[in-house]
Amino acid sequence: MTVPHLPRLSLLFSALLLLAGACGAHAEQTAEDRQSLANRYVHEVLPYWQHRLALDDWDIHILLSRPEDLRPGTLGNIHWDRDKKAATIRVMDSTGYHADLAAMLKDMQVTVVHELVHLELASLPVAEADRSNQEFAIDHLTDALLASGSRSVADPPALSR
Amino acid sequence: MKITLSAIALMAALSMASYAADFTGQLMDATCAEQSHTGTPSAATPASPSAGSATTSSTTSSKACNATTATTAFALEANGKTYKLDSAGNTKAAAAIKSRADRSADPTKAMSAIYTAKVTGTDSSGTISVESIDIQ
Repeated sequence: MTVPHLPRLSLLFSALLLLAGACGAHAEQTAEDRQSLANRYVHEVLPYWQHRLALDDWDIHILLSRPEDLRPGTLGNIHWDRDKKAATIRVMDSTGYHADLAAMLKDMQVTVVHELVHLELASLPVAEADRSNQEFAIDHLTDALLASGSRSVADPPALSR
Repeated sequence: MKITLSAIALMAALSMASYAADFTGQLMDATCAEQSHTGTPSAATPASPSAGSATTSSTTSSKACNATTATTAFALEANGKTYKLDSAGNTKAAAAIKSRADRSADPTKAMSAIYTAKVTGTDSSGTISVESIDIQ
């Protein structure tokens, strides 16, 4: 099985970001450019993190959503069907971001990983009162995963003696 | 000729009556909403056909009766009315609300307790026979 490329080292997006930066010196990026790059980016990072989290047996779709189509105060969501092993991740689209391109894409990746961690935990029952605690834990797990994102799965850290 | 036209008109009327429609609104806990309207515990409310009638939504019920993952009987506040969901709808809504999660923009703040849903189904005396439900 082919391991998806690491998104942080993606040649495609490194080139695109460089190009976007160079273009930015001359003219503002259009909203369409940002949206198009965002759409390509989330479709690139999804298979990588899906594999990292051993969710290859799930059929996961991803799409960008306008902020008004998400719950107020949220940046994305996931809906899943455990029986069909299918899920859809919605990530807030570029119209909801006022950050520069790189920061926007980085945050979109956080949303993808965050929602995939939710999917990992989908089989566990969560009481309404525990939801905020679960969110807190998932935020920390997401941060840890992203911090270790540059390390290859086949290259674990050496054990200290 | 007259009979044919009447038959066509009747068939058209019947097909219109059973035509599924989309209802978009706020998902509520039906038991709680009913208590808010009647001011009595739902267990004491007699199960009569009129109990399913769509009622004009009240602000009180909107604030206090948001659906949660613990809800088993759902209602939908849409177009200024409160609709109940049928049994299949309750099952679908319960599954949908448990099979979703969000990423909050500010994890230090409590997330909105409101679930907006688009319900596709047929309204019959204030109860929607649910074909599908899509929670935002």
